[in-house]
Amino acid sequence: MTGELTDFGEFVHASLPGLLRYGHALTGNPHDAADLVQTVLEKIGSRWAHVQHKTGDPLAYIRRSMANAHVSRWRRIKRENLVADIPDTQPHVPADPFEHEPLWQALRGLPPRQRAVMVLRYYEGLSEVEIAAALSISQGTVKSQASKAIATLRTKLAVGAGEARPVQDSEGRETS
Amino acid sequence: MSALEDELDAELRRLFGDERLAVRPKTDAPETIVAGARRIRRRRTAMMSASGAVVAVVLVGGSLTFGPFRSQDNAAAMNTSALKTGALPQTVAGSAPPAPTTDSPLPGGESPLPTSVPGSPPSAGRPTTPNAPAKTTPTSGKPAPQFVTTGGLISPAGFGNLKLDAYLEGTPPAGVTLTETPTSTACTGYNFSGDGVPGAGFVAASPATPNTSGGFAMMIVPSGPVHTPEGIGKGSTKDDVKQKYAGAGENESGLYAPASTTSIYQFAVDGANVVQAIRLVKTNSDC
Repeated sequence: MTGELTDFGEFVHASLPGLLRYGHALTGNPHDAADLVQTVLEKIGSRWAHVQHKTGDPLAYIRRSMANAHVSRWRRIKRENLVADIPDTQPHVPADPFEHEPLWQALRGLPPRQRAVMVLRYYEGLSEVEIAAALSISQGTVKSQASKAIATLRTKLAVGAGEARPVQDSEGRETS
Repeated sequence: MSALEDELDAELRRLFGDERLAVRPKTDAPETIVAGARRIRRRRTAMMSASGAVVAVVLVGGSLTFGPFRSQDNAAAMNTSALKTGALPQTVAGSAPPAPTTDSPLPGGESPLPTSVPGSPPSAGRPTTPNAPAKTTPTSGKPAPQFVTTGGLISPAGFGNLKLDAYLEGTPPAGVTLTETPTSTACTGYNFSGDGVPGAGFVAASPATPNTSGGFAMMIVPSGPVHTPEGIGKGSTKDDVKQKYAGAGENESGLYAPASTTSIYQFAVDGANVVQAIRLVKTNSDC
């Protein structure tokens, strides 16, 4: 087991930054990302040889696992926070770097499965068939979830843009 | 695709490619994760050892004891990791493999079973007759093993339509009803019943995807009497098992014998060394 976990440890060292970034895209915030990554990696590490043997591509397997874990909301167990504290030398870094990104905020409002479909599509570049396989859902469900997500995003962005613009009366005069 | 959709597509790709998505891990994060993995594995091993014993006791009304582990009988049967972790044996007595050089109890460390063990499992529907060939030649001077056909047939393939290593997520095997039952391990547990199996029981599945239900069937534990294609079943003696299977041996979990190159039977025996229950387990099971 020692050798196996040494191998797993090296894998974690190499893949952790990428997985945390992916987790951030999935969950919408760095702390949930760290929670998700830690939970999934610990479970996979506990059966590392089996995962390698069965999948051949542990990284892809882990990403699919993270997407599923995100959807199932299984990650909400309190555990040690793996994210480094923001250094005091950067006191003005906002907690949410995408605070002023309307699209990011709109994505946050999506149900977990719709968000997972968006991430798999636009972050990972997976096809509908691949997303269906990754999330163990039908291709039709992928299509409908993506369609709903896109519609929601478009609506929210339109509303956001409308709110930002001055409201005009029927003759084009600004009223507020 | 409209210009609006194109724009939203491009915006999504830009957002997911944004460098601000980067999250800086603590320097000791990898060590913390590896320690967590080790902890989970240790807990799973302990829980499954305990639950295995509980299953055996439940099956036979508390009258059974698994045979003690006798290292002098099985020195070649167990690698050092299996002894440390209580994992299933990767090799069995009599196979005389070279001593393992790694301590991995999981797949990849699988050792070949004795050549007397069939490489391909007999079919689940294979008839059991008194003339069915035993896997080994009976030891001279001992009575010939009785051929038991009581109860359902459990074979290397599985138990009726419930096959070992079958994927149990989504549609269950034909005629089999699976009811998820809580476990304290990473594996998913189901109680099974239905016309597709000779009897009810419990199956443990190793998740294909962590944190989800289902997975590959790793251990099948019928709750009623069963017999193997070789005629070992309830009422067989420990000697019968050892005569039928060249690779039979004993460890801390009790009496076992090779079912195929990737699975074993585990036998629960009572105080008189008579088999009361049988379960089928993948040798690389992490359940």
